[in-house]
Amino acid sequence: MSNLGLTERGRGYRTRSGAAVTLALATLLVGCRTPVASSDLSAFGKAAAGISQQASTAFTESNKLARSVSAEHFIASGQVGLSESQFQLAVAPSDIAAWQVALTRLEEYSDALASLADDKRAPAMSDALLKVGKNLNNSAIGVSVSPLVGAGFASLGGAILAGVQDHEVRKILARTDPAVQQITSEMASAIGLSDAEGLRGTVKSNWTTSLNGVRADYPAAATNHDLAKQRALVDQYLAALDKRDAQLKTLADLRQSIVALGAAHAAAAAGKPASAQALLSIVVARAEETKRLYDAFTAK
Amino acid sequence: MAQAPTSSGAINPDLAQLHTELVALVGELDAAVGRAKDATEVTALLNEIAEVNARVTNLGRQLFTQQTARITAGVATVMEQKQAALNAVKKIESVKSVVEAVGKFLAVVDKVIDIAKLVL
Repeated sequence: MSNLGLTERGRGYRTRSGAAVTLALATLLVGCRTPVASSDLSAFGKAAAGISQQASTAFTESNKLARSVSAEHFIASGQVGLSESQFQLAVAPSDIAAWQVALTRLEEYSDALASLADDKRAPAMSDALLKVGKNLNNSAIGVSVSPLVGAGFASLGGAILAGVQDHEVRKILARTDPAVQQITSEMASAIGLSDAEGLRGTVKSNWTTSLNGVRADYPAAATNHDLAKQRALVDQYLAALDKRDAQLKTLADLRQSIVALGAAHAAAAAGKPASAQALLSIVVARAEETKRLYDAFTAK
Repeated sequence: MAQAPTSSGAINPDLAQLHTELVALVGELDAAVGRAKDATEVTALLNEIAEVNARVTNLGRQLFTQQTARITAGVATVMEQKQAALNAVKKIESVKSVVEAVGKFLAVVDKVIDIAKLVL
């Protein structure tokens, strides 16, 4: 019977030594750096989906406000022709759609990366290699593989696969990062660094204008010393200010989520999964806060 | 590392500055309402606020569209890399399937040899 020299008997020292080398290699490959976790990449996709929902709600509310304010402006203008174009929006519908597409693409991208980083694939490869080794041992062609060596090679095969996966994931993260940074920084800028600029500035200005009706009525009430009317107008005015602050806060939260999403990708691309996870938890918290605020905002 | 994709439409910094200044002007007019002496002044200020705000909204929407164009430019790169990830998955899966196939093939070979032994 032919022997490929992998039996323990007669060559025990070499086989044990070979197994030790393969096991050491496997450990080295797996242990040299923490691989990018599939779950972290999935979390990025979920965060992008959460932001998409946040943005959709924020833009809808911004447009409702702008349209309502422009209705007042149109009525006051005395124009006789009524058409949709006379009512302004804060965000064009085509831009809302483009944002949804962009965030969906980010979600799809992270799902593809999560699939590439799938940590179940390496053990499956090891199992498959182990099966090959067992089949060789039991085979009628007379090959004999030591269990220690077989296990070592199977483990090495899985480790190599895991290494290849991780290398590919890191390569793609690095290649994509400039684009993700461009997308998230433009989104953050469009929302506005403060209530004085960007969409936040537009919304604040629209809120100020939406209070014109209350303020136009107030001088007459004050001049006539109609205290009840004055009180009602002041209450209305203050309630509107609370709503304005709530809406501006949700836009600030949206911006913060977008910035955190970009930072999470940069951290993952730089091989800092812990930082990425911490940043993604901020995005989730912001999304939940936005939902809570809007629920409270729209509650009767 | 790959470079950031070029944008299809750069934002106009002058328009962005003008938008910010108009938002600030609405704020100043808003504050002036609190200092108005009579209803006529209040009405005049509120009318100015409405006029300036109409321009804030118009300009803000245009700026938003310019920035969205730059966002869309970046999405093309993301899509390319998504495809790269899917291609890598296919390659890795094919390596795994070859190993699995070899295992199955060897099992079949053994059965064939066993049968051959019985026949002989």
